[in-house]
Amino acid sequence: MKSQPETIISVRSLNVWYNGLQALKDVNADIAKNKVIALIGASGSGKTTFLRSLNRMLDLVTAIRIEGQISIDGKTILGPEVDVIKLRQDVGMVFQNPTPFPKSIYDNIAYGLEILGRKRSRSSFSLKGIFRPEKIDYHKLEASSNEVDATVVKSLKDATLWLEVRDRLNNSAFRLSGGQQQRLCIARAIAVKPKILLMDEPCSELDPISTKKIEELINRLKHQYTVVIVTHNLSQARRISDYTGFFHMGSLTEFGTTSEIFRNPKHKITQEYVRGDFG
Amino acid sequence: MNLSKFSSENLYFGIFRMVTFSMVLVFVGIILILLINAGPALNLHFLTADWVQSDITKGGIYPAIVGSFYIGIGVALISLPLGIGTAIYLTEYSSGNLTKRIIQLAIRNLAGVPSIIYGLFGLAFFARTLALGTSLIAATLTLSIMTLPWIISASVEALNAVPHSFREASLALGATKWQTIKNIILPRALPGCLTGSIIGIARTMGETAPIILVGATFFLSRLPGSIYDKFMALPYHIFILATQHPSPNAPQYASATAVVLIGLIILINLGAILARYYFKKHEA
Repeated sequence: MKSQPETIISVRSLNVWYNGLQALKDVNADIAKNKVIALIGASGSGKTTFLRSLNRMLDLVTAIRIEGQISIDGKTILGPEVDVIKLRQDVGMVFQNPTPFPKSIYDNIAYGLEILGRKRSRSSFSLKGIFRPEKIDYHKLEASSNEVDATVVKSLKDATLWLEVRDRLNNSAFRLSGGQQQRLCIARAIAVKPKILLMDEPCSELDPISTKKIEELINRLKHQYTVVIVTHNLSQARRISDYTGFFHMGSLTEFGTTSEIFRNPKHKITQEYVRGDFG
Repeated sequence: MNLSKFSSENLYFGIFRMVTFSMVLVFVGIILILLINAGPALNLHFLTADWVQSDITKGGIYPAIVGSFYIGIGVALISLPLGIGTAIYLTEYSSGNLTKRIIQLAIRNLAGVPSIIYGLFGLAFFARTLALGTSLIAATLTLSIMTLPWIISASVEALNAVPHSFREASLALGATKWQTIKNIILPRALPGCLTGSIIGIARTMGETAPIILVGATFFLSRLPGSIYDKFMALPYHIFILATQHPSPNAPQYASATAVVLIGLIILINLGAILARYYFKKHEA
């Protein structure tokens, strides 16, 4: 293990205001590559705002003001000259509620590749398909040399969903369970090969068994991706993360290795939170 | 105490039920009266034969059905893309600013403009200024702008009903706004846009006042051969038969034509309902 892990995200004096109300106050952090970083803190403490600043999803909010510096791989991502589309391909996101598109399982994964201009082997629209969705033979798909087909298979395998869905890839994604939908969303996010995966309370709507599957998945994903995860579940943060950041009232009060934050926090307020005194 | 509560509950329930049933009764009543008045005039020959001006009992209203059909298709072709496009701009591209509010206000007011005013506008602008004459195309354009507010409202509603999470999820994957609209939002909203719009188009097909001014005619010996020809249309045909035709059989034939028009509109609305049902079943 290296003593000084490589930094992938660097945040300097980040301030965010919604409608003049300050949501983030002077946040500074260096996030290490290929690690899992948990962001904890009470509701409204700014952790989701912080997460959404990393892929510029905050841009969608009207009347927002962002100041400070964020750089990913040494390149600044704030500012009007930045290619936000490219940024979001590098920084994937998984939301709190599973958000599959109203499409088939296959099409959900293929979508991210299609918007990049990759051509799929079969047309997404066929006259026959309107009346009876065509069945996708998974043996053929696995053997396919088409890039989109191969990526769909690999992403579903990486998201540990392949065995559960390979017989019904043409079915609507809405027919999957909540936990499967969330893993589908993770598969969709990793299909476009991001460097970083942002997760906004991905397990808060799921049962313990589905949660366990997602946690195992995150553990495997960190070999290829940097995972930044917002969670309200303290034991989850302790189980899966290498580093933990504690947000309190818009400030990143404490940021360090997970064992440090949970065993030996520097601030009294962090200690009270991780002990469960409030929040 | 309990008894009075119970009976007042029954009273109000009864009132609402009565109001609802009376509406249904009015509808059934209209259809029945028209059917009775139409009597034997309503037959296959009446639907498929050309109009015979000298003896209305010998002819049919085929040209008027075709004329109304052309109008419906034309209005759909022109107003659907314009209306859905406007709705996309309003819901997806414009933020809640002054321009958007002014546009929305204009659309709401357009919906309230009486149809005869649209007719006058069509006559002045399409028929005269653009020199299209009183013709099928002038009437189609006039009715299209009249239908636009309906289509925009229906489409805005359908687009707003698409969950915000779909937009976020697509943008977070690195999709552009247009890719998101084209691939995610529009496919989801289109059934709602279409079904709402079809009902608006069906209403327009029953309009009489505007088409009197811009090209409908009571009697044509042949079907319109080009978009610059005059045309027959069902609502105008009813109007003339009911008010100006000398034949003693005219009222009977007006009723028969009215049944055909209502039937046509019910058929179109039924199509919209079936389409909605089909899309609902297949989306999840």
